[in-house]
Amino acid sequence: MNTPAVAFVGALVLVGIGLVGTLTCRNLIKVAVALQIMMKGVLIALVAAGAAQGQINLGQSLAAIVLGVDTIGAVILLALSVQVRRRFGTLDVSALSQLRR
Amino acid sequence: MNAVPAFVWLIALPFVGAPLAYFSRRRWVIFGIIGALWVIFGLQLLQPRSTHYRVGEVNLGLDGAGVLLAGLALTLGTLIGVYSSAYLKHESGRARDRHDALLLILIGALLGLGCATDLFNLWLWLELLSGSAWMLVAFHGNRPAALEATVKYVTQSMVGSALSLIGVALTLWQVGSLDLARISTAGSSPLLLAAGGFLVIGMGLKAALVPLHTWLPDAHSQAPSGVSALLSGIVVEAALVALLRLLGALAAVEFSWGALLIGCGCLNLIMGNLMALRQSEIKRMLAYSSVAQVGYMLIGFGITALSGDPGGAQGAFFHLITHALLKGLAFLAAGVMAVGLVRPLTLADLGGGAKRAPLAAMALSVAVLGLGGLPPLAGFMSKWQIFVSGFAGSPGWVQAVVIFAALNSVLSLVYYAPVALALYRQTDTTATRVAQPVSFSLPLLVMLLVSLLLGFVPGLMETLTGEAGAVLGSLWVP
Amino acid sequence: MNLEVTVFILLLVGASLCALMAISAPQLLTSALWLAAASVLSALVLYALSAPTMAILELSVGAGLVTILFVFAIQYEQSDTPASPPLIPRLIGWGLPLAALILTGALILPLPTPEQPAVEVGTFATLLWGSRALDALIQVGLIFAGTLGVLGILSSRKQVSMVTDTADTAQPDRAPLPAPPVLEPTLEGQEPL
Repeated sequence: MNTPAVAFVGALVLVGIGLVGTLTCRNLIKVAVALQIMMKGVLIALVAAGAAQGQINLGQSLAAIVLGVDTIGAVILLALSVQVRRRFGTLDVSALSQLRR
Repeated sequence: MNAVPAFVWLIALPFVGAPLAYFSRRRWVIFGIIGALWVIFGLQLLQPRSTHYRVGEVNLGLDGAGVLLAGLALTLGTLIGVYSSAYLKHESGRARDRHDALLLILIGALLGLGCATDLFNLWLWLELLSGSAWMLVAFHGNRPAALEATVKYVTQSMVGSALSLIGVALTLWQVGSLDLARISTAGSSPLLLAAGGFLVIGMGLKAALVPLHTWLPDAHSQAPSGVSALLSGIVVEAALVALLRLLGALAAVEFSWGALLIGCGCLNLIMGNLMALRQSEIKRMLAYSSVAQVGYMLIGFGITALSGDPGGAQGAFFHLITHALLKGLAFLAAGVMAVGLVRPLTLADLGGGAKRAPLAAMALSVAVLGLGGLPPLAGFMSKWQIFVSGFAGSPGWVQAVVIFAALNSVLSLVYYAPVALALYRQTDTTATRVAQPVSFSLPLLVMLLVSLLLGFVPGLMETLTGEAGAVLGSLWVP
Repeated sequence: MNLEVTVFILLLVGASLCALMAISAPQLLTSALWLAAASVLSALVLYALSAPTMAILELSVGAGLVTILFVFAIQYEQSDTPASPPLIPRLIGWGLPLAALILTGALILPLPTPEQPAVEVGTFATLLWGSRALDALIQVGLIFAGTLGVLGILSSRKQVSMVTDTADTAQPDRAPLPAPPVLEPTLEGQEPL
């Protein structure tokens, strides 16, 4: 196996761990952490895919844009968590269940 | 660089307009921009179809499906712009400016999404679309319920983006290009099958494929009514069209995407209908019914993906139009009904509605009965078109699915009909007519008339849906 | 297995361990710091993939800026992590991603090496600002939308209201209207507003 392939598999593992985090974490900030981990995996995957095709700079530019999008997402989630804490007094997502049904 | 086709201006204008609308703090700016968009759209329609424009390596192209999405986005956007003048009257000026700017970005994202021909570009447009949609759902962020809906929407949508990006990376690994046309010539490989799987899950989260739909009822019922109309009417469907374009590029993969789409469609139908039956809040019921209505579109598109026959996609696109109009109308009318109410509008609140707000009551009844597929309303015509294409030369199990869908349509009347009945039941003799502002009545009237017209003259949209269906059909020709 | 591959594996295992620590740490601050560590290791992976620009970006934005944001948000909250079981059964929470991972691995492994490693045209800068210029422009739109949204979310602090129960008493802070409530007469049996 060459290095991009190793990196790609590692990226998938990171995405998997992030997915576990989004499914199991109850704290909103930890969900945001888990989403960040998923995005780390995505960045590595994109760059590795570019590297495999000998187009490392294409991979890099895509990853740079994803990094920007992902940072905006993180900011939005953190702003939401600040507001959730104000409204509900907790960050536990199980408090956010008025709308269950 | 040769002459810039009109649709490029169409895409660019909302992004210039959004900061303008926000910083100028004048409400007429947004209407000026929407007017300009209509003029450019008209000019574009006069030009020959399928024009392309290249920005760097990324191609933008307007085809039949793009025209349909753009027309629908502009129609709904205009009407909701008008509607929100009255709906947001009591919000602070800054909040209204934010709403207007985000509305423009949402429209721009829809216009761009219809023109994307590059995998990553398509993903980014979808991200912009959901980004502006999140922020519109968060409009009433001071209400706990709206906050909760936004949190669910944002987190689930971000998981979807990450998963679809893995699909993008896998495609890049295999093909070395992100151009959808290039990808479609790459043939079949296990890598592309995995990529397709990730893209279906990732984009399916945004297109509310059951069981990835759990954010939808919350987000669509907690948003301001105009925004709900947009979200249910076109945002979810645009994500669906994006998914279909991607799958069309992966059509050579040895996997029956058509069967998958039809299967998801059945799940959407039954899940959406059963959950809608249990709701007493009107907006939440309408949101669940959107899950079900996406099911009909999935079945229509799936029929095309199975056989390459554009009839199914044509019906699905027609259903997309009628659903956008009828669901939009229903949400707007429900919004009018709920004015002054400090909790969610429920079925019990509709009693005597016909006396208080005759137009809104009329609109809501026509909308829900149309959605329930009562002939000769528009919703019936579009469902009929899907069913007919499902029977024409399809394998037996598809015909069984069509019968199942038809039965579901009858089932849906069980929750739609009580809305219309409640409005016209004379329980409340004290109700008096309340004058509605023009910006409420005008969009309701326009949508009501157009949807009635479409019911009686369904051929009106045939050119539009025909072209759009042919675009998707050509991707799946075996 | 040569040295290069071994280094890669070590870096990726390290990043995965940090990620695991980040999602299982009981303290939020610890969690954010483990995330930063995972970020630094993934930046090293990117560097080793000969993507130095992206490595720098990841190091400064992913490990730097985002960590600072997290620390700010956590300090602002002064919140604790409830030691309660997850909402989704652990079996599904771990099993579903694991199953997906195994399935994907079975499909894509061994990853094929593309036949014609094309000659790279252009540098990072020309690709991002030339070939992918449209994407960069759309991102500006996204940043604008995100900024407006964050402003909206954070500015709705004035009407503070705590609604604790879940029933139909929800949302007392709907925008008050000067007009008489249209639907007042039909509110029989409802909570007085």
